[in-house]
Amino acid sequence: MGSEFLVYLQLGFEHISDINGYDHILFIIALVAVYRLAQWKHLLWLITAFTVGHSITLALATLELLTINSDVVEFLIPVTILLTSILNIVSSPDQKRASKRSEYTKYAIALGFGLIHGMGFSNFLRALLGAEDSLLVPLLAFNIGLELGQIMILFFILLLTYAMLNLVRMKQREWVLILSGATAGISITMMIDKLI
Amino acid sequence: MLTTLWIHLLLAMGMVATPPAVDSAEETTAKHRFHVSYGRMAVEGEVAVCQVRFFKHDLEEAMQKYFDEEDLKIEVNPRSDSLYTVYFNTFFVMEQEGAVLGGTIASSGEEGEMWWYLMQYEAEEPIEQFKVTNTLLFEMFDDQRNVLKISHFPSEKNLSYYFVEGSDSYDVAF
Repeated sequence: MGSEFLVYLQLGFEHISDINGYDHILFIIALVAVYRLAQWKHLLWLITAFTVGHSITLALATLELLTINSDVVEFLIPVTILLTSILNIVSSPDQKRASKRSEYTKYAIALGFGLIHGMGFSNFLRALLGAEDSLLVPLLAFNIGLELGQIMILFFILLLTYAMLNLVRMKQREWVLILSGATAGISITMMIDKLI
Repeated sequence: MLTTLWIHLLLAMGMVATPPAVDSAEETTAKHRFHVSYGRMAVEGEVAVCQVRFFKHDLEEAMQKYFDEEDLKIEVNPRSDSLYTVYFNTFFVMEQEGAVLGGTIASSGEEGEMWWYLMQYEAEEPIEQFKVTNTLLFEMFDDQRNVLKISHFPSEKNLSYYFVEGSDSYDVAF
């Protein structure tokens, strides 16, 4: 090793894919639950919107241009998971019929919720680094690491979705309900956990 | 109707599937379930200083386990400093040409949920190359990661290292 960039790239990747910090993983599952591999263009936009959102707040908060109470952020993260899951459950079962407008709404939601998750990432990074002289390289590398981790999680979800729909022959609506029901249920317990 | 039933069933399933909640003792670690320490070392001539930042709760838990003292608290006092020095020098080892350099506490402090210690090393020869092993908190957390950034003066050369289980030792040369 020896490269600062590689160190933070690895740290970002492991931070988002760490099973002990499953909240970010759950959000990505909820975000992409209604999509299939064939809809990769939508997924690309959706993940890009989430990335833009968390990159903005990660940078602002790590550079101390934005300060938000970490308890509030930790409560809001499961709220984003719950709302995304509910949206999946109540939205039109036929994705082909989904209008352009509803797609744009999802991108906007991914962007907005990305802002909240970025604050969570920044609380971790800022506490760890303290008064580090130069935050540019750690911030950039950590963010790219998060992005690579997201892509890996996305890949696994799509692979699982493919297997459930094509090998197990499950209906897509049922699969969406299973994923979204599970993520909603877990997020509710996380919210209760934060409150008590 | 069927959809409503599905939703209730699946919400319940999600709750059952939730990973075990952290107990009260682990409450403060909930914000950083990913365990990391961050060290910065400056080397010049025969002297090296190294500041390591820990999430206070993690370090406290590790030291409680290591010294088998449930009530052990990290504080600024001679006893706490002495225990930390033993703990640190056991899991963070600097070797110069086979000889282990012992670190002594220069200062320490608290910053939010973090606790930091500044350790000082003195060698007999200029420190130009050495081996560093960093397994701090590895015995406590399976997912523990340690980051160490080393700056050499006057060359101003910077090197960064990532310590994980199985990759916990590096040969450093400026």
